[in-house]
Amino acid sequence: MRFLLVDDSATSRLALATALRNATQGRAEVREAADAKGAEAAFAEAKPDVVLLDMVLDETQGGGGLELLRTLLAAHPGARVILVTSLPPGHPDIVKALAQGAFAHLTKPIRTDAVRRVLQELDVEAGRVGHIR
Amino acid sequence: MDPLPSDAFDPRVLAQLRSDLGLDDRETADMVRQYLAEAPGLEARLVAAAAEDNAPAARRAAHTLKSASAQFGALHLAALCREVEALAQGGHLPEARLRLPAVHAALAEAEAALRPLAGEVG
Repeated sequence: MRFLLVDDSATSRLALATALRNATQGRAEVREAADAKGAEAAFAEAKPDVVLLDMVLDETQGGGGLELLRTLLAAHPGARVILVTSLPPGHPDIVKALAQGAFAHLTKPIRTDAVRRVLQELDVEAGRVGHIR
Repeated sequence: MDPLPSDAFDPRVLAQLRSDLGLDDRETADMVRQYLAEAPGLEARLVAAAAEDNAPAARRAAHTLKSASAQFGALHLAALCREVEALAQGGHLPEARLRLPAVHAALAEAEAALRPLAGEVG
């Protein structure tokens, strides 16, 4: 299971990586990027099964979260992108991102059980990651 | 003895984070160390962005510092960052700048409260 975490906060990335490892019993392979530029490069190299994307990124480093979502989905139409945000559910930016093709969203602070639930929705945790492109 | 809740640091929030993420003692200390390593840089980014009248950058830095601080129980700092984020988002950087000394003081208080939990001496 390959994951790409995109968040400008190293603390948030560590929390998310820990939750992913705990939710997958250590089977998660985690790559990280702090901005959109780094995320595009990491995606091309690692071909992750799932991208977990913070919506607030440094827009001077390749664009914000919504822009990166559009870029990734345009280049990789089957990519599975999960938003990670402290915005409240129903926020217009979340609605917009889901309409643009994000699979789901997780609310900060991250909880392992919430990560596990989303992974189950993706079939990743059941080991059927090959079905997710 | 466990620290008591205060404006600078509420240990119940950190306990909730441990529970939510399923962290052991070592992982908790690692997380706290990561926050202590990152927070001063975020404050510096906020101060620099405010000085340069860069409202979007100030908003992002305040937002990131707010989110990280809130999950570690640094609630006073998180509340101040929330105000600064809102002011920056509204283009009110002069008002945001007035709050930066309080942000600095709140960060220092949060660091002092959290360092022992990272295995560091204050």
